[in-house]
Amino acid sequence: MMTAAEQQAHPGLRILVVEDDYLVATWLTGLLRQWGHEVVGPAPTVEEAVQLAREEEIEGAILDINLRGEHSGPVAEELEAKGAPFFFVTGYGSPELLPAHWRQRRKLYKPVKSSELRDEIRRRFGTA
Amino acid sequence: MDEGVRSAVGGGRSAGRLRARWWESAGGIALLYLAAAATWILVSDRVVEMVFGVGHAAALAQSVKGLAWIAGTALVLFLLIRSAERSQREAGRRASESASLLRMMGGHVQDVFWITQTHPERTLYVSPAFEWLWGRRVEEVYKNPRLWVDCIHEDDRGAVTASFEAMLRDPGNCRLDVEYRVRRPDGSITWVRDRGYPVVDDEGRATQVVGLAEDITERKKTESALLRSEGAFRALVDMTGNAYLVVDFEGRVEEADAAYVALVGASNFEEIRGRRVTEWTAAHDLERNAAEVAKCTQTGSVRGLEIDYVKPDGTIQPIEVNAAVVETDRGPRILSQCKDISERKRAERALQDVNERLEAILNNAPSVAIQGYERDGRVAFWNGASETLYGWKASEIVGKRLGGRLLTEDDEAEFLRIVEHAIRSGQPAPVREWKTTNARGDSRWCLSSIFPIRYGDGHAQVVCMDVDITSRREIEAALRESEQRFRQLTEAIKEAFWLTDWKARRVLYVSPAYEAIWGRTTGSLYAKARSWADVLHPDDRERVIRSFEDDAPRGRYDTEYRIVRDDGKVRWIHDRAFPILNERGEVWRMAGISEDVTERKLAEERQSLMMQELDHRVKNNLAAALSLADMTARHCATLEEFQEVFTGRLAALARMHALLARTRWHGVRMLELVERTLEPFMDLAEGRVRVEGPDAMLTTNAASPMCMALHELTTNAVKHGALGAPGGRVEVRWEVDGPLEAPRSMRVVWTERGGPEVREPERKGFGSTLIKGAIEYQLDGRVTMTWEPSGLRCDLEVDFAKTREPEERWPRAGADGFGAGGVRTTR
Repeated sequence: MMTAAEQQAHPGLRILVVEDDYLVATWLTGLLRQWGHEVVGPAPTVEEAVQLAREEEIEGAILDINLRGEHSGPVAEELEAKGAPFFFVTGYGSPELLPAHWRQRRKLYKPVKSSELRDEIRRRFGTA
Repeated sequence: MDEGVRSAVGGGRSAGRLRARWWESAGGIALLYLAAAATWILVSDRVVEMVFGVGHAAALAQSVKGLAWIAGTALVLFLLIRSAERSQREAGRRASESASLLRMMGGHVQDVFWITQTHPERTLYVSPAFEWLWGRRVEEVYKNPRLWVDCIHEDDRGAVTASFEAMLRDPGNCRLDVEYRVRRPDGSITWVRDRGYPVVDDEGRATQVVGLAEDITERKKTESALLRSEGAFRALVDMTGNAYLVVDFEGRVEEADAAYVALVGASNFEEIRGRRVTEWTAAHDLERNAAEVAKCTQTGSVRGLEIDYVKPDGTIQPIEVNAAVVETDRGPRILSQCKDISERKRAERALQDVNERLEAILNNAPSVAIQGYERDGRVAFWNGASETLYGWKASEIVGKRLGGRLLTEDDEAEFLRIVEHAIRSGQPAPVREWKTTNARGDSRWCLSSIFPIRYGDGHAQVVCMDVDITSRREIEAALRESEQRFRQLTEAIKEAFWLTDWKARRVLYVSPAYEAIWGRTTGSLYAKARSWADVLHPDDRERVIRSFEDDAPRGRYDTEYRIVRDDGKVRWIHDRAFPILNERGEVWRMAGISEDVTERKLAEERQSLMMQELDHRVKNNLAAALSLADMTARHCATLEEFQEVFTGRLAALARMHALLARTRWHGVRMLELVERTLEPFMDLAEGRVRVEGPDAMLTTNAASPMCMALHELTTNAVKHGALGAPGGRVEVRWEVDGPLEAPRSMRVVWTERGGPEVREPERKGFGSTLIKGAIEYQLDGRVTMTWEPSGLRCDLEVDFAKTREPEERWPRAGADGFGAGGVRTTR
């Protein structure tokens, strides 16, 4: 649904979406595609996300922290290892519950406004 | 002239012996003397007249004068001899009184009659009995007039001589009456009573002494025996310290010894001689004394009569009298032996006083029940306190055995054993406590001292002194109970209760819970009062110790801290302290309660975690709702349509959340989820929806996708399927693998029948995308939709194992059971 002008102004990125909630994942992927990005995933589990992160070319990733009871930490490490930028989107209000490793990382808190998400993608993933 | 007398007497001696004794009488002697003297004078005068030729008249005058003198002397002689005869008779009578033997002998032995001239001393006459009595010939005494004196026993001689000379000095008043011993030539001793009567001349001088000596040897022997026995008797009486007394039957004193005189308070015997003993007998004893005296005269004796005398100074003199009637020469008399019993009486009174006092103490001791028991258990005495305490009167119980009164059968047997042992050993029994039951049926606890007493006669009893200690026992029991309650409380509660001596830093008490909480023994805390702080968590240590020192004395110590036990476990402690002040307001004791709040802390942490989780879920749900709204909006042509569709979807999710909340996010029951999802369409669905499946639990993760799937299927059926047409029916059927409360997998079949004919749509709507996406993406399940001519069939297969979240994040609800599976049909 992206206009041609938008596509030019914002060249698409390959963005990994890691989110176990179907509605949120569907909404997110819908938005990213609307903004001209290519969505890798979405992945509802750590296992699938790690596999995608390892195998796919990824220019940015949006990670839910709690994936069916598991942490998305291994995904973050995989992304960090290959130098892909990412940020967390979480329902958690308390950063202490994140693994100590990721406590200082900037996070977006659900529910996330689309404009907020768009700004974060620009800032993190180096798009305008 | 004296010679004439002698010869006259001597001349008639043999005749007197052979013939009757007439001449021995005084008159006979006097006549013989007169005749002889007159004859001699007459003859001599005639001879003188004839030879010398003296004048007849002068010679006659001379003769008359001589005859007159002779007659005078004859008369004197007669009188003297008569007197002597009377004395002799008297002596004979006395002799008969002294001894019958003497009297008998008196008939054969004659007394010695003698006449002695004083100047010069010359024996004028001595009767022949002298020879028998003195054992010497009469001639010897004529030759030696002092012979009779020489023969006197040397012990008696002085007294006899003195008595004789006294008589001669004063012949008018004195007579000789002496008893002495004569030593006979053969060495034997003869007792003689010698009496002499002086013959006085004109000038009052004794010229001659006429005497009579009698043999009293036998009497003396008897007397001597008497004296000896009387001496022994006296000695005996003296030795017993008793007084003796002889009274006649009228009670008049005839004899008494010095001791008796002293007893009655007299100064000498003469004061009481002849007086009646009733004079000093106490008035209260007069009658009794008289009766006893009368009895004595009848029975011959009185034993142990105790009476009181009254001395002149008014003091009472108690005596004991033993009396007997004795024969005396004066007739029967009462011989009394009187004993001073003042001391005994005093002792008796003192004893009686002691007895009375003891009895008063025994009987009146207000709270000591005293009883005496015989060896066989019979009650010997029972004081007033025993009556009060036990309820039985002494009169009811003395002389009887307890027999079930007071003690139980077993206790009574035990008591009797104790009695027996006490009497046998002579030792007091150990003090012990007995439970007694009195006559009123009340139970009383008594402390009993049991000890034996042995009387003078060897009879033994035990004395039992009981003190009622019921109230003390009750207090003790209450104390025990209170202490027990305290122990039960402090030892049962999980909190450690402790009490310390604040200044001495000493632990006085710590309850056993300390061991469970600290993992150390209470002994270790008693040994080192501050050892509880040894295990303080390093992060808490400084704060806690400071607070304990500073805040506890002010009653403000109330803190929580961690300890790291020796076994490595971390425990949270809620510690509080309460100072107890002494009367000066200083902290004296510190009491405290230490509570293990680890569970609460964990629960708090869990609670906190859960709140965060809930927050997370709410935010996730909001995110999902926003996504849903966004996507719904994309598929709706009008705002009205959006409102209807979105509100329906959101409401379904809300109902599902209500069910989740009921189980505290521990899942949702499939049956309830189905019913709740169908609920808004009940008007249409009534009687047309069949729900069938076990009452299985869906996981929390599965609840939302399942809810959305069921909701979308229902709305689709209403819009396009079986529920949208009359006669259409829906069947919801499911089955599970594994336990109902945590199934491994579930298979749900949604089947529509009787609705309008359906075909697979060319372009799938958002609803079916939603169903598929939710089940397959979110639950990793499988959705199969089949459009059969009879209606839509949808198969949902879910493997819960793939999406089950770790259990511990969600605390389980308390009592959420599961019913049996069943078939329900919506009404």
